[in-house]
Amino acid sequence: MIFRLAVIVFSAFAFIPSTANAYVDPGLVSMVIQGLFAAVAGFTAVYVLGPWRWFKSLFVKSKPATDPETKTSSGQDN
Amino acid sequence: MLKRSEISVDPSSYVDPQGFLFHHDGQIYRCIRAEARDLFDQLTKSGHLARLEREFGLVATTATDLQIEGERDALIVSHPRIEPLSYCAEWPASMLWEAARVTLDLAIELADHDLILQDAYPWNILFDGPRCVFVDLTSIASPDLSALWPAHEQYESYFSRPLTLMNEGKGNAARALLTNNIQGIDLETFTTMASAATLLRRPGLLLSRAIEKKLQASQALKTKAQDMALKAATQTKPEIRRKFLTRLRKQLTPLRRTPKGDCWTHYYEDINTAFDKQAKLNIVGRLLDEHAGASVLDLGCNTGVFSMEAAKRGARVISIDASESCINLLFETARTQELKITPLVADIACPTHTGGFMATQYAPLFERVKSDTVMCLGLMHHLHINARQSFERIATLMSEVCTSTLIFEFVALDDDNISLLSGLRKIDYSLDSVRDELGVHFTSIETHDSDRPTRKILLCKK
Repeated sequence: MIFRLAVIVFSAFAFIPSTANAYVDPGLVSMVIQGLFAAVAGFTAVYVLGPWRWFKSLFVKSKPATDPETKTSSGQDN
Repeated sequence: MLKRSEISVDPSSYVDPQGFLFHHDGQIYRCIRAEARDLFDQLTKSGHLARLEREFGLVATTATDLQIEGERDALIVSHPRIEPLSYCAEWPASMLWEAARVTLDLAIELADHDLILQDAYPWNILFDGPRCVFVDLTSIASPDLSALWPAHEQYESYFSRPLTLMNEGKGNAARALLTNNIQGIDLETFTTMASAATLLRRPGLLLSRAIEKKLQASQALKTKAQDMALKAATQTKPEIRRKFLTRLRKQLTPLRRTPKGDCWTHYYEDINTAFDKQAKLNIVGRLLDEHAGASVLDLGCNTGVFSMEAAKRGARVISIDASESCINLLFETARTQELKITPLVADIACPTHTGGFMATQYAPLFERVKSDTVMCLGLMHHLHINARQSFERIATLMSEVCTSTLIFEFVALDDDNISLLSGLRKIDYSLDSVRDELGVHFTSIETHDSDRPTRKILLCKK
């Protein structure tokens, strides 16, 4: 709730008139959002989930590998 | 080898560098250029294309041996013709939601195979009855490294934002904006129109608007943001693309809401019990049995009671009404009962006009919905009184959309609803005067009883 309020207050200057350059690709904000998503997801995968999985592996027994002769082929992607 | 003069390139097919859509000999074909055909050959060989058609709504595609002059080594495929052509400005919320779902589910499935949809235009979608079909085959491509999903802004402009506005009861405004096939509903327009409740629930929208304004004001900042976004996107793995798309799909689910009813939603159920509704159903059913063609257009369909009669008799039905709530209900019913009905939201007195660049890309509504049989039941007085159209013009409209048979309900001056509509205006017509106007376009007119003494069903044949 506090975070939402902070975002709303921070965004308030969106409604303050300013001299604007009309030449902005409408997809640019979307690119920025996707870039942030990719950066956060990448950081989480490498620096958070990676160490967490290593830490878990110290306490959780690993499952025995299945006998390759009993695996069936997945065949065509169908 | 087909010459260029023997084919007719579809006017809306000009953006895609991978190929184009064309018409030849009454069929629809797609030319996939040489540089893009490897991907589609692989998709066909692996069986993946067939699976996308079966499970994800991709349009049926059949390879042909055709060649086109000037397109060396291109792959020419054929697609089935899906009618009617309809556009997102004519869809109620439930149809737009279904189109968004098909687009995202397809994008997620493609992400699993390191492929993307290049664009998220609702013009990529057609409805075959109530079934949603993704028709832009060459939107499938290898990933563009400039973003996780380059079509994200299109998805927001043409699906997410309009759906949000429709859920707020602003369907007519959203559909009016969707007639702009270049822009859709941009962020600035959306934040102006959205309710305070929506903006408070999704503060990210205001933040995005703030970022956009900041970027507008500074060229240097814009360049820096672009470089950072590109760098982040080029270093991502396919799994992150999938996560991003899955997140969008989760955000779509709560946007599926039944819109509030309006004064027309329960109209048919609430008709005065003194009237013999079954008699009207019986007479219209009999006329459909004896005279209906393969295609039926139901003008002013309300919740589609008579559209369903036509669909149950095997016709392909197009149902049009100005009430989004009624059309929404009809779409859900057609899906549940698997009836071949395509319901569309349009004001018959002011339908979707031609659009796109030079106003030639998209045909107007009445050109796209012409049918063998037209039903105009309980509508005549609305066109004459509310829309102020003379019977000469109403008869002309009926003739233009009907190729064979018209089932037209005459409403007499002493009908209860006439006084409700006309107010103090002087309205003057008779059964004979209406028949005379229809007689200009139709060679024979039979008169039958309807559900009340003040109404007649006219069967008009060309």
